[in-house]
Amino acid sequence: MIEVKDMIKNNKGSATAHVIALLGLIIFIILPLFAVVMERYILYNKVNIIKDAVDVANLASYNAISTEDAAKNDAAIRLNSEITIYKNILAKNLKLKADMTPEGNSIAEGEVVIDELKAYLHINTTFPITCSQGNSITRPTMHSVIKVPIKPMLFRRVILSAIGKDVIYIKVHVDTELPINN
Amino acid sequence: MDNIIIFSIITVVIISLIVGIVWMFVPMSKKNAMDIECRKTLLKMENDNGLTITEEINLQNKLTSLGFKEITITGTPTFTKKKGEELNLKVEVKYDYRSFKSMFTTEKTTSTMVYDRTITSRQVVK
Repeated sequence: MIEVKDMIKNNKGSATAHVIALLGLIIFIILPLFAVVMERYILYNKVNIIKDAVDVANLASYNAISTEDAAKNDAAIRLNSEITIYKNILAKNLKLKADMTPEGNSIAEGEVVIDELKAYLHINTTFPITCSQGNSITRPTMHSVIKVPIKPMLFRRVILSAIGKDVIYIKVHVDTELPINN
Repeated sequence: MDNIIIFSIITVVIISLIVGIVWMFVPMSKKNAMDIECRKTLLKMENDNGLTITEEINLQNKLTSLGFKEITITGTPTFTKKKGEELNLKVEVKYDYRSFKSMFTTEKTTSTMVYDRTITSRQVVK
């Protein structure tokens, strides 16, 4: 008991205790903290790459609708045409196969699901309008929502594998305003 | 005295760890910058019906100023596609950066970065 009191009172402290405390600081605080920041940054980058691809696919699907289809004002024909072109361009830009499953060097780790694809045009919309994800739309816009499976890195991967999962689904929503100088 | 030595050693280890981790962000941030520039060019391609010589030179200069080397730009030339047809931009660059080889030594690493996107043409060719 006296020895413990002496140790507490001892201002010099123990070198071993300091080493253990500092190693603990590195292993349990500094490294996990950086791992979390790094993981967030990587995820942010991946989401940006996907958003870029979705934005381009949104524009492409509008650009590629044939003038004839657009003039027919038939929503079914137009939507069918849009989805085909959208899928094609999205697949090319995210390196996916025709069935929307990933090729070797794709950012996606599983089948990409298109949840929503809608064209808000003057012929079918009274502006302003709010899209299903809560964005206010004031001009002709292509709206799309996709789900992309991504493999997390570092800690999240460990936690996911511990609960028997492999991927997380990232929901990407992009509203692309359509050009007016057509 | 022992404590000071141990504290100094651990401080150096922590600093090298932090520097090492921060250095890992550099190539990712460069790729981001490259994507932004390439995206601007792709949107111009969509509007101009392909990659103009001026835009190609602009992109080349911007990428060079960002520190990239061996830049290869391949884009669909202007006015070769009709409205709705596909235009492609593929940019391949090399980027040199230093990465940690061990705790206190670094080595030069060259990374290849690629931007490959397809879009459709907006302009009606007359």
